[in-house]
Amino acid sequence: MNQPLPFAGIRVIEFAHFWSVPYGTMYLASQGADVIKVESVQRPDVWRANHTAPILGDRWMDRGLLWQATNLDKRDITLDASNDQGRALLKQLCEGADIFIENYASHVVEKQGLGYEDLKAINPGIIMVRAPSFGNEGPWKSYVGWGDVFEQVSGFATVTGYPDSRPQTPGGYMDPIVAMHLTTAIIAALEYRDRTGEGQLIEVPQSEVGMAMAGAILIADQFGYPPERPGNRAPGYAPQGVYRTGDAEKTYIALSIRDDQEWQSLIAMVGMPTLDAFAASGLKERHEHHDEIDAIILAWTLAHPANDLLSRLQSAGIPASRLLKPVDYNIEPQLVDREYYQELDHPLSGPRLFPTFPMHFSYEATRKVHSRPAPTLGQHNEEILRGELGVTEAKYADLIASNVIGTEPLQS
Amino acid sequence: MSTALEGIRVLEVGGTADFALPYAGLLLADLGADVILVEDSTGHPLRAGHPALPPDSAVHGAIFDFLNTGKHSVSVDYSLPSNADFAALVASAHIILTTLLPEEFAALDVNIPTDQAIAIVHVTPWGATGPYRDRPATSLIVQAAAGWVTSRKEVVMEPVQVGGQMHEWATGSYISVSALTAYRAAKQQHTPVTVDFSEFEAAHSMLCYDRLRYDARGELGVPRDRILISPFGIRRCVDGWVGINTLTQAQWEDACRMTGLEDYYGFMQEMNRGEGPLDEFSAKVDAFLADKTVNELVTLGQSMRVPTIPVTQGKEMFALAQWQERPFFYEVVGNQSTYQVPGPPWRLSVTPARQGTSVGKR
Repeated sequence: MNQPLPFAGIRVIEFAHFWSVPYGTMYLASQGADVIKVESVQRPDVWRANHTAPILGDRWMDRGLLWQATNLDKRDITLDASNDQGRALLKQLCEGADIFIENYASHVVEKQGLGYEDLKAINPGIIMVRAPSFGNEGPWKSYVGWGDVFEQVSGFATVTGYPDSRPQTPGGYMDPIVAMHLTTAIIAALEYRDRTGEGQLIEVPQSEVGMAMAGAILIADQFGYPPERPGNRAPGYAPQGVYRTGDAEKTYIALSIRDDQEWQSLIAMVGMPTLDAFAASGLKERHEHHDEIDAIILAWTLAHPANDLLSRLQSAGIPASRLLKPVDYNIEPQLVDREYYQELDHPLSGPRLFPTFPMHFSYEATRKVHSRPAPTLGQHNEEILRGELGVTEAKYADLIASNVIGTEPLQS
Repeated sequence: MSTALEGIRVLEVGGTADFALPYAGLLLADLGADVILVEDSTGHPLRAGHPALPPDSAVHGAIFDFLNTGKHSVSVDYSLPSNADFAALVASAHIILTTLLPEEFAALDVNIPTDQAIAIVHVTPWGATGPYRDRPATSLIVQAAAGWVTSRKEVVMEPVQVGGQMHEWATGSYISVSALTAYRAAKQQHTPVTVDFSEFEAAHSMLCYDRLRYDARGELGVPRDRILISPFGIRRCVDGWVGINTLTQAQWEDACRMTGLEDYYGFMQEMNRGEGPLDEFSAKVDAFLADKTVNELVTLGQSMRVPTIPVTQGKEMFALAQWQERPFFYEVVGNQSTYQVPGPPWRLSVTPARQGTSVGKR
């Protein structure tokens, strides 16, 4: 018989929206936690509206693929937390929960009586997790932000781009990064609670996650190396760059030359006298002539298809890769071989390939990472409210009638 | 005061010139784990620097110290077969983070009892299986393979990597999650648990929705390529760079109102795709910003709920108003100078992260 998963028996109440927090809780759900996502018919998770529209059919807000990919393996209920009955039921859920996690603006949960002190009073062992943009205190506590903003304020935009370009926003990678940081803290807090029985409040400001990763940028600046935009170059390798190939469809490859031996291999492969002139160049000289060397390499790559170039470079042991494009994600050989994408069949939008995670645990050798597709809005209302919280049939009908619960957004 | 991971011993074994694994160890150390850097006689490769850093030993040393604050270092030639010192360390450990492949670790010939609750996380560029397993990798190559090298948000720009080794730091957080999950499973199952961790898959995990987005756009009947540009985006003003970010139509209209460009309310989608009157729009935005400071713009934008923010240049971060009031950066006294580093990215009310004023006492 299979062993229970590591977070089996852990109940997580997710009072959160968008990508960051729900991605972290989805990880816990994929490892056995019972994650109950709490939305409301008044305010469904806004992420549901991403890349979907009524044109896709009925219940279009259940069909968004990005929302689904962030909410696999969870159960979903609706509760209007601004209503006394809804709030009471949410608190009842928290009585039996291990983790309550939220990412609304700093005043929202307190206003609804769901602050840490409120929850601790009804469940001393609860771990409450908050993921504000800038922190729940300080002059920026009400400032608005999302992934791009956190990349800009933490210094990563300034070091992304070409020397003559403006700073470039990496592009919104912060959500899963924040999720993994807060999940690290959550598991640590569970360890502590296992030892002591004591819960606690965890705050993970999303901007501070970005800044925590900026240690090297900050130290280098203080030692006299202000941040620069290096394009695709790196001081320790040369040449290194991204080059267009001769394929009919616009295609690029990247390559890095790490040492003199790889440099000699590349010179022999390119076979152009103009490059031979740099045969004796060490790293320093190759950097000094990087623009000229790049022009010669580009002339070579433009004359050949990417497959041929990569085959030759990789055979010679030179680090090289095609630039992966979204259209190729599902057929990328390494990802396919390691079953990174997993098919799940959603009752409304049908079978799709969804991402898993980069960690492959020995106990999962014969198990699929995700166990079920994303829930529809309020799909588990009856199962949880009636079946687990003991709401009577009459009261349940009343909750529906008064829009405290429901399965359709009140407004599209 | 007790820490969250008190009593949990973590070994870092092996190592490459890559921030991911050491950052994972730092996160665990911040949470109170007893993290031991196991170095052989050649020393950790990051002591000699990272290929993306300026070739300056003072910088390398300070960054190495930062990544290893709160950890211990022991010198053990673990690659010698049946090394008793290494065997004793492994016997005392709960988590091992290693850059060795499973068979390389097995070749160290350390006997791990079948009932030892220990997590062994093998962190490699491509993972321990698959057709790319033995391919050489650099930071740029992992980014390229994972889909990180793009034209970012410009209409016309050759593809470019993300700077600052952002994917390595980010990967560290996936590694720390892997380690704690595997350790929890190992305790429950009273057996060693191994993790085959791929840095390439971690980088890919941070943008893997782009394929679903591509499919969705096709089904919605709009051009499949993802949103190309950010029409406001990062702009120069009097004293620096400011980011004006719009995600929703409401934010777009507010940003237009903020810059006096109400005439462009209806152009968001078109200009997001790099089409429409971009050049004249851009010139008007720049004209509006030309006599304003970053602080003025951030205050104005945020008062209108437009996500407006300073695009910080390195140590400018220390002076931001939010972190003047909310302590986050702290000073360390190194061998030759004093400098500031960022604190841990979390605040735990009962088990605060370890933080101090000098290297080794974080």
